[in-house]
Amino acid sequence: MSFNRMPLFVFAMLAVSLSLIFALPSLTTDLVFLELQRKVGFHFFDVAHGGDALLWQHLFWLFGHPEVYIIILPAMGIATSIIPTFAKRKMVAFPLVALAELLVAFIGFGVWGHHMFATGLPVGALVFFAAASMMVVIPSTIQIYAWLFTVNLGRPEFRAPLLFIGGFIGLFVIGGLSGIMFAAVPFDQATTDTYFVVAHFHFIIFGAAVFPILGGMYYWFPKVTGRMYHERLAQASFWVTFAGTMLTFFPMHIVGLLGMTRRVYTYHAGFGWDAYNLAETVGAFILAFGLLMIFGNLLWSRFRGAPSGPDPFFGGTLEWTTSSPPPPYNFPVIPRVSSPYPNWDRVEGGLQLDHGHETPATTVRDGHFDEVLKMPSESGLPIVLAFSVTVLFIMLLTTHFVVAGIFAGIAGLVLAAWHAQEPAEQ
Amino acid sequence: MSTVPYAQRVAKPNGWWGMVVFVATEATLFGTLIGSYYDLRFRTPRWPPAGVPDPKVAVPLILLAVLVSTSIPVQLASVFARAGRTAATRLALLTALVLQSGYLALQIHLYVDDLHRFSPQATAYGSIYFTMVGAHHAHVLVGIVLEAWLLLRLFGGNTVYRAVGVQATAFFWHAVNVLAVAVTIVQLSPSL
Repeated sequence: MSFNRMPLFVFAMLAVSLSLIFALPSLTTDLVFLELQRKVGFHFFDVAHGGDALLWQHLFWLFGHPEVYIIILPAMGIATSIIPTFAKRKMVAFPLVALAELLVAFIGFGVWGHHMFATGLPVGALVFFAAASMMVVIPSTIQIYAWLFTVNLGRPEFRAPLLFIGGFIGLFVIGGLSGIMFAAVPFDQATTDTYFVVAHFHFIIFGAAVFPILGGMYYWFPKVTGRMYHERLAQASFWVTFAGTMLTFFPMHIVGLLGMTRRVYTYHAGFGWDAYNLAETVGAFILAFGLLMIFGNLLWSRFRGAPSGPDPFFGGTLEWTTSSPPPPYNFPVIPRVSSPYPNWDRVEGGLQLDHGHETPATTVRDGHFDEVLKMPSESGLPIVLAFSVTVLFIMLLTTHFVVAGIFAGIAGLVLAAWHAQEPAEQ
Repeated sequence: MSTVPYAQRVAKPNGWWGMVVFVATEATLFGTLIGSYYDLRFRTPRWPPAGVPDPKVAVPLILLAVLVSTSIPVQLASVFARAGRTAATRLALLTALVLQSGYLALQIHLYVDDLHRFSPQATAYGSIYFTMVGAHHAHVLVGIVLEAWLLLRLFGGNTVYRAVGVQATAFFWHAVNVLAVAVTIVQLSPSL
């Protein structure tokens, strides 16, 4: 599959993968420093021995902000999968949306300082991070308008998955509007560590990241199980979940501006926060009930739902061209892909691979057929390796260095055994 | 076995791409280590702090030159493996392995020597110095293990699979050598 035929969901996952490669090592370094300081007596973060307490925050947020986009980009990818199916047209501004997804991930590496505006960074750094944070608005807005116009220019059918995407867009806009306020340094310094921040990131991390996942669970449920969910109950569950989300998280903006700080479990009566916090608690119960409706619906449908057939929504992407649930080999004939919506732009023909575990490899950019790859067969060794490495690190954490060494040795032996199995040459 | 192994394939082998992704994470790791070094340095009035000797310059630079020169036999091994010249591949790998093992042995000697002169537990300078340099030595060790493994396998003959292994390991060594230059310059920077 060449780049110009990749679905937008895959572009989103490409952006996620690139972010993961470059974001996680920063957290690794940070945790190694912390472990060396706490267990071995090194000094990285304590000022008395020449360390720097802010170094922890720098390394953490250099991972942590890209991580926010790692969480939200799959949600954006799900939105770009669901909207065309139910609007019955291809995504508007396809290349712009693909570039916007990649741009969000890229800019995400230059904004970590906006989590540290109140820590006394130099003015030059504040200006840089404020400007970079405002830039994130551009690719985010490109996507929001592309989603809205796709629905507007199509013939939308508001079934449960599209309702959840609608809720997602609304919650994402609210969370984005409070987010852009934090890019303004003076506003951020005034609201740091208040409930206003808590409100913002719950709109993003719950509203914007989880709502498409809930919609995606309904959308791909027939594909995974071969059965339909209950549509009426699903639509009702959206309205309950959406109302619960708004009631839980919206009042947090107000109590935050009224001065309520984060990370408190109680406070004196008479600050004027009581009614808002009561509303949030009621909202949390409504939200929990909505989630129960969703999972109850899916659980019931798993066993009692009507058979869905291979393609109940007439979706455009490749998964709808195979049966539901898909066979272990996905496709009996490797499909020819002519566009990002191959189910709508069908072309005949394709490659048949029937000699055991085989899959085609293609050239990187153009997706021309290159080679038949022999895929590895079942093996117990990877899980044994994973178990040994897990025990190794638990032993390091609990300073049982000898046991850790033994499990490192086991991991090495398993790795050697694994690599001693080589594919047969033709 | 002696034919050109994967001439029919246009794209780089998947094993090579896997190594590229691994090198990307490791390069980022060293980026954060070097960044942390300078973050700590610019907060300390005297670097290295009082009581800690300046790093020696001459011996680490000579060792660095030896390590970087091993990129040549490693690259030759990669070319020979793809051409199906198994004996030449083994010889090139063995040459690199001897030089790199000698490098690592001397570096471990210097590391232990440094540990006797100043402690990683006394100052932030010692902490970041031993962590960063130790991380680099660990990567050299990983490269040596990869190479020794391939050398052992190649005594059973060359295959496409093993030639990809040599190619990926060669890429790993080039990356380690670039990182070695960066780490050594940072390590010596107080004396330069």
